[in-house]
Amino acid sequence: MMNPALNFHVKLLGFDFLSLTQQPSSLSSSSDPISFYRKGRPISRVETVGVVVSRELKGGKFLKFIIDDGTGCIPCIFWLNHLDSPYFFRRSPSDVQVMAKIASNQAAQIQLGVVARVRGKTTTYRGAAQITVSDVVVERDPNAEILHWLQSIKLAQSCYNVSLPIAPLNRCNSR
Amino acid sequence: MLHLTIEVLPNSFHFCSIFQIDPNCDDSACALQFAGPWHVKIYNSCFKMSSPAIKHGVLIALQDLDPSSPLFKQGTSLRVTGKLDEYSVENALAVIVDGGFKLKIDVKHLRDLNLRIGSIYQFIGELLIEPNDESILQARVGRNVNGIDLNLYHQSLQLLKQFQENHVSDHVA
Repeated sequence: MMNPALNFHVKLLGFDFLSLTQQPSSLSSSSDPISFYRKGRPISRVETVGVVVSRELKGGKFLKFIIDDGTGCIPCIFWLNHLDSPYFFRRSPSDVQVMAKIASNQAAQIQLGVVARVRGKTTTYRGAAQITVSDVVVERDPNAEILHWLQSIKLAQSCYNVSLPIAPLNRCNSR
Repeated sequence: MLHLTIEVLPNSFHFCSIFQIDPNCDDSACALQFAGPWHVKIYNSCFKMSSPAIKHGVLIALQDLDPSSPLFKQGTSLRVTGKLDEYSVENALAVIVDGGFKLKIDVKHLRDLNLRIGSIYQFIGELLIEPNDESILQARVGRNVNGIDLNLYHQSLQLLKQFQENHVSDHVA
């Protein structure tokens, strides 16, 4: 059965993300060797909000940073190697250049102390869960993090914790 | 491959991180930043970070930070919020207040933060407890949160803690 939780960004708090369980992927179509589960339900994409408390830049290759949302520290990797990576060879060069520029601009905004909203895929590095970032934005609203806490709690209680057979989760995030 | 261990002992708690450094790497674009008393930068080296080893700052209201609190321990990582009541540039010491409760903040590691009396700030750092039970937060991260709804913040903290407790008890069950 198709699981909608694989198809949208699940809003998770840090402690919840860090308690995801990992198993070798059973899907032959999956490019990821590891699958993540929350209370038995597979999770692929996540969204989180928190303070950037560590930042490691390898220019032109990646930005590693850590998000602290007050409940846990989530390691994030933001790849900036669009112009060198074989992953983008089939894409139009002009598109790839635009994507590289957008990613570079986003990475430049990720500085220590800012509050960032991160979206991406759950992956592993040396056995630990991390987010491979697809997009990241800096939140200017001082209440943004509070809103994320409340949304994450609400969604967990009304959607993510609901036992299978699965409720229409695609509608959950639009509430 | 060299293995470099950086160990910093700010006061009485430990921070240790291990890096692998490749001396043959000529990549000059490497930069590593940690905020706080263990601020480290490495340039002209290729390295892989083995563990972030950074603890999250536990959310706490100033009124809950008293000697009877389980979080009132040397080196505990906390996140606190309050209005800036005092600030000494010479000593790099600030005092925040919330609901009549005060906390000293050591801000010497916050180089880019503009501190103004009367503004609201949030700090993440480690608690230093002096022999007379006076506590100082050694901030490694700080930000201005003017415009934050403090009532909503405190109510949300309660909900968040309740949610975390339920989540943990569900896992145990």
